[in-house]
Amino acid sequence: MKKYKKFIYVLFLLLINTIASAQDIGVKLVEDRSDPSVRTVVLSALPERLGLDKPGGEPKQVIIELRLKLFSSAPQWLLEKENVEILEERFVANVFQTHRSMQTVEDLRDILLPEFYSRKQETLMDSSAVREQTWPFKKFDDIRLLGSIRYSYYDFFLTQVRNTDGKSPPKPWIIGALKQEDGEYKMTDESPYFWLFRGGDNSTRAFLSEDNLRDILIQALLEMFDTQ
Amino acid sequence: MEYLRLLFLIMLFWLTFGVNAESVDGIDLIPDDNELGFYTVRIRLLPYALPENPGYNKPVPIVVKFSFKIFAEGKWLVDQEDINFPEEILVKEYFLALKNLENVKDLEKFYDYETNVIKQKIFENDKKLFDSVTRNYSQFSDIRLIGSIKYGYYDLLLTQYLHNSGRDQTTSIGGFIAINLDDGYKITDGPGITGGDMIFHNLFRTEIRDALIEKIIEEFF
Repeated sequence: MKKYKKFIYVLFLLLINTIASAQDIGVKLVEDRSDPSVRTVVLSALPERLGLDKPGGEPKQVIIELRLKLFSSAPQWLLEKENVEILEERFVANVFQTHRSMQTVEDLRDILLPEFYSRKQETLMDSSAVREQTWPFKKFDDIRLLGSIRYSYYDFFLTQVRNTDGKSPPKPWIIGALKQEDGEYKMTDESPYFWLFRGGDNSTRAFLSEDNLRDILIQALLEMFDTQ
Repeated sequence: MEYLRLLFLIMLFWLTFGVNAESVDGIDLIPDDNELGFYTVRIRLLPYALPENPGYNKPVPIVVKFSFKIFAEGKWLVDQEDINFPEEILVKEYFLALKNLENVKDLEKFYDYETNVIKQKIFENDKKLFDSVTRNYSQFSDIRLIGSIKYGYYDLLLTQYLHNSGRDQTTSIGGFIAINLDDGYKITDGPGITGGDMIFHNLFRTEIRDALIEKIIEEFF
């Protein structure tokens, strides 16, 4: 065991180093002069070195810019709103409602892209699988749309869902979508979502952990709405 | 130790191939007014797998910006006597050590403390891996340093290799991660090994690395 102690200690140091690196992320929302509904999200990352040696020189940041669209300066809970006029708000409200109330996989047909729907048909074949999919949504009773991130053709809607208990804070939820030729949105499968928010897309996965970027973005948006 | 070997192989894979998830849509090099040889690199990225029926939205890239140092002379280093930059000295000596590697102890002086402990353990326990690393480097005859991506205190050194054989000498590209410490420039796996700070890998990705090297060669060499 003894010979591994030093090794485990170093792994531990690396882990601390890594956690510190991942945490040091700044976020700024910069107004677009030509379009008041658009913000450039500037994410800056700077790793720290908490290892045994002291590094020299000035540390340099890496910056990632994302395009963020706002739909309202004061987002409202959509299911309690009488008339939801904005297309994107109608879409996320419909996605949320469908996920809460679906009885069979057929109910998802209208809101998903065809290839995503085909895959869902395979995974939600019986009623217990459908129940498993819907039960997490039963804890929430409303949704609001804070903004959307554009990446390539995809829109990632940053939403919050409201807890039914009235005490717990709203929970962030991201819905990936693709606008169709008829102008309607359809929900995407996870792959573009992963590119931007988690897995395969290397340029951004630095920041992500899905929770990490999602929470940073939503927090920044809420602060912006509060100060408007 | 199987687990460590796997980690190491994943790391090698990342450094060598990256993951083909995106394409570079544009790249600009903007000179830094304050530091000679330094540039801000601005890269626009789009995912590869674009949908076939995108409707009427225009694709929007994401933009990644980072600091970059160019080694504009780009000298092939093996026969070079007169080398001034510590980064180039490290690259040359590390390359020669890997090419002529007989004992893992020969690499000790190149690594920072943490990397050393881990590398020693991995190589001691996996002779096959050790052999494959040495075999890999034996196919190259020379190396040069193109530039370094700066991230925090880390330098992602971009290198070009000259192959041994063939009338038309071919090259390939690669890189090391280094850090400037009190006792000199050291190779590090620092934040990479546990896989947490993925920006590290991102900046070493094939698309970014290739686009940068092409751009630099086009503009400076």
